[in-house]
Amino acid sequence: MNITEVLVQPQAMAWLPWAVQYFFYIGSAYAAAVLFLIALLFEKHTSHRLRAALVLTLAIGAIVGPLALTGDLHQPGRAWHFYAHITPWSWMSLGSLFLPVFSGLAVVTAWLYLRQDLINLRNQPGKVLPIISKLSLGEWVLSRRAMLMVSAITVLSGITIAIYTGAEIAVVKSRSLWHQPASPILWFVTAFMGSVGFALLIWLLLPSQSKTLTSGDTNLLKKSVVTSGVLTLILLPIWASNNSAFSLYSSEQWIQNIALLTLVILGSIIFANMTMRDDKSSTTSRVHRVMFKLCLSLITLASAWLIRWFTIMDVQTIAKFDAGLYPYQLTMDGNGWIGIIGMLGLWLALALLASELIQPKQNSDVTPTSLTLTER
Amino acid sequence: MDSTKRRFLSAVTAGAALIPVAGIGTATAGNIIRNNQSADRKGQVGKRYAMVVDLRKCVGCQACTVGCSIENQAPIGQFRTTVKQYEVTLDDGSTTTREAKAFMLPRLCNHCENPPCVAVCPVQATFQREDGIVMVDNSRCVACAYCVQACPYDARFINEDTLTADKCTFCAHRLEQGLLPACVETCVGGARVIGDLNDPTSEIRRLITEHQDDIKVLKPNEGTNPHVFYIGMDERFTSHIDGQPAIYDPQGEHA
Repeated sequence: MNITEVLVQPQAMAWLPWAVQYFFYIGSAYAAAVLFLIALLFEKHTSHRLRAALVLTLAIGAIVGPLALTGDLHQPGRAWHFYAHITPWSWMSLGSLFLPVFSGLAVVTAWLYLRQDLINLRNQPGKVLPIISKLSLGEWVLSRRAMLMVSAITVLSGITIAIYTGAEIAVVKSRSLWHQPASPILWFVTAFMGSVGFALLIWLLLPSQSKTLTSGDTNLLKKSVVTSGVLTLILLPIWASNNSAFSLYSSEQWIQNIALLTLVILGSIIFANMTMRDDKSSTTSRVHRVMFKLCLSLITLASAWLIRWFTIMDVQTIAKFDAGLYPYQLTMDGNGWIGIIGMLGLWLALALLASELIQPKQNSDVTPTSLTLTER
Repeated sequence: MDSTKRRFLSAVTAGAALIPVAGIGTATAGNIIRNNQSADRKGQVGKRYAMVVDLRKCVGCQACTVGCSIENQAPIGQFRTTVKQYEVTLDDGSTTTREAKAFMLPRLCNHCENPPCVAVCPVQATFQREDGIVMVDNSRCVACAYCVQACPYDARFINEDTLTADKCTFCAHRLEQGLLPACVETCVGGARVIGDLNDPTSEIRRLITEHQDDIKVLKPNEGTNPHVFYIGMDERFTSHIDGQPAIYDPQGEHA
């Protein structure tokens, strides 16, 4: 028997690309919190530049993400209703409590970690940087132990974000592709791809004479990308086969989507293995090394973004009950391309500004603190 | 004010208890959430509204669709209720089946006994009254569309004019005045019957008892316990419809 739906009322997309943007930026932020804590624990092996890049990824993602989120509300002016009507049984409401805490902690962690860099700006030429250096609010020194404590609390707060964002979508029983443990795990695992991508981008933006990573740095980045990539490659087919009503593998469009995802993730793993070698022993030229890092950054960012695009946006084009249609086309307006580019532009602008705070040392007589011991 | 405070505190402790277990099903399991503690959300206490749709009487004229649109002023192209139409053919290429070659399926909010849309709402804008009607307070709704995602029946949408969640209310404003919902009033075949399930003498109770072996609901396995009952329903249309959408394309070769 063949059934054709003849009077089709197209169903509009309920969650717009803003949701993908939010998951992308906030994911990069909470994963950066984890990587930053690891880098801080192995302080002797990692460089200050990489840690600075990670902590800035954390702070910038935690600022840009929530802005994208308000875009997904059709009534952004009513965001305060979340706090006027707290609803603990709704994950989204819990998220409205977790999110400001995480964003606040992310900015505080970045500020505390980069205070020494802010203090160092005092000796920079010009007027602007010395004024910015006042943001260090004094010259007190934070102990390593306290810095670790703050970073660990930020990681815990980041985990609340990972749990709530994952659970929020996974409780939606009406969509079996979301209503499975594989979907939140997939978003958590691929968040590290996004984090490495953004951290490498900031790392490249940081003003410095030498663009080299220590062996500890490359080790951390490579292991993050490879672990995240391998887990994603395992999870992706599990995720795709868990659909009660419709087999993704019987749709040409979905086979293409899954093939593309597999390809970019494989590309990230291979690229990370190729490029994340010890810079000091490498024979490739400086320009090549920078290009390789930029490529790795872009491909890991593409992996994290595309996973979110296909698992959040494309899943919404699958009919819940009827034969269809759920058409979606990425528009050129604020809810489409302009929103996506605008958010990336905001991220880049913040990254460009923040990267100027970490200036290479002008003189060697600045008292090194425990946090900057291993620089370069 | 005291009761508000008490409700807030009990809500907070419920939430705190929920966090450590953090199971994905936790938020939806257990007690059914209706968000109807305040007095203005009770509706007609003692009643339980439901609808029976007798598909044998539906001719797919869309009078209900039009009646609802006029009554509730949904934006053009957005519908609180509509009649889905399907063309059914046999695999051997013939277009005849034993009874009919077209299938009509009036669709509206199911006013579920366990409404998944109410539980997810982050600001308790959507609620279920004591009489079973699921409503939206659109002055509170933040239009996050979480309820639209959670509804397994696509019964909700974000109203393009009000920019808030919108859905069928069983025309609660008419029921309260002793009138029938617009779709019931306009149905030419008398296919739609609304009534109070708690009233043993009601027409709806009589129909449900009379046709108890032939009553079906949409997605019975979803655990939502829908309260729109269909008579003369084919099982192939109750869960996921395994069919193709026809694309209207005037520029196509068959135009």
